[in-house]
Amino acid sequence: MSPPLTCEDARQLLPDLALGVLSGEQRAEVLDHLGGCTACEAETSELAATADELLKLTPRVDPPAGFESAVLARLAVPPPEPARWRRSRVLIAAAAAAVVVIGAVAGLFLTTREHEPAIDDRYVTTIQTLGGRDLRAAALVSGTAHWGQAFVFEGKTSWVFVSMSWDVPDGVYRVMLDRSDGPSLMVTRLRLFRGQGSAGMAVGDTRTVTAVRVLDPSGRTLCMARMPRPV
Amino acid sequence: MHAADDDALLGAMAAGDQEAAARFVRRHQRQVYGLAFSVTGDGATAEDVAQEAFTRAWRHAASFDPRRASATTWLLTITRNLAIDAVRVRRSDPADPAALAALLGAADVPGPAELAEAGTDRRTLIEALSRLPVEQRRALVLATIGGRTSEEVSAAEGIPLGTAKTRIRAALHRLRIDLAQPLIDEVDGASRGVEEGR
Repeated sequence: MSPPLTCEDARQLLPDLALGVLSGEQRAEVLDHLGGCTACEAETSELAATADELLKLTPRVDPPAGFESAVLARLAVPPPEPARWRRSRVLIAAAAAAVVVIGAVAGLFLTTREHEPAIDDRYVTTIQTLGGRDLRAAALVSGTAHWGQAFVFEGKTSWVFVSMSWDVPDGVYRVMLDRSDGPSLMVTRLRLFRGQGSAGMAVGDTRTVTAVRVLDPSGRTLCMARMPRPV
Repeated sequence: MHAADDDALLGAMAAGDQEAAARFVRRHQRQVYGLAFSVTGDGATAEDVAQEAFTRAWRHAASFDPRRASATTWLLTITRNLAIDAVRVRRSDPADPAALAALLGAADVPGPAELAEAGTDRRTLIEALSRLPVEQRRALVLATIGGRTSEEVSAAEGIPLGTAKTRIRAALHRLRIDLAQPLIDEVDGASRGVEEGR
């Protein structure tokens, strides 16, 4: 784990963050710094607003023939529900340990179906090492809109991990767990920049979790993942 | 007036109005495709990106907040993020700097229809950009409309990475101050100005 960034370090990276082109690891480091530095956060917001304004200078180019009708044909089709969340930056930005685990467990299920024994063995070993008893995943949705994904893992260390992407105003959100055996529990904050962010937190017992909700700064439920029953 | 029309269209789109969506697409398709092409440098990829941008706008119209950004800025930000992802994921080469420069050159002399459409907003931006030192301007255009990282700007311009970062940052700061000034003047002078761009 690299040491936290100083303001001087962070400021070198703020333009790339504001422009949305920072690499995943650096992006996570800078966002971590912004969480405790209002000056750098304010500077980033101003830089991003300026950069966004510049997009209005984009040269206008005629799209290929049939473009408009192709777009409208897509809009006429109900949005597909399966995960269409953006793989690249979301996954890169995710907390490294959690992604490793998620990747391992998800890979277990995927490869189990494909019957590749060598890979299955590796994932089984990984799960055994983690003391894994259950992994559940569900889409974070609001109406028909797909905002991201929630994971709940039960093992030696049990944790909840949330990844959000796209079209949510920047800010600090809260991740709440609905439980079958008690009141809802706020487990972590989720900082979103340019509509993207991820957060994970170790929790005690995940088997009673029935849903994962993301609340906006005013406390309103923005989206919810209804978790399947534990195995 | 234009911005208010966009807000109304997005409001109608959030309610599922496909006719509003058609008008929204017609109004913005050239700019969305132009940005996608500026970043990706590839017609087919740009078309995919532009289509996806409108699809996202349609799906998420309800989340658009006119207090945070104009509809144009919102849509172009969506487009730019998608285009950057497309370049990264598909590992296609980003747009050629010379082509970008030529595109920007074309943007410097918008036609009468574009001027009427974009009004003072666009002219103010062009003027502010033109006041930057040319090397800062190039770096900033590559990084914004071109969707390049600092490393890519460094390579494209043949300058050290630190220099590329400094140029982009200095240009962004200077532009921010420059663009803020007219608003302050107008607020001081009359109540007219700020609303004009809305």
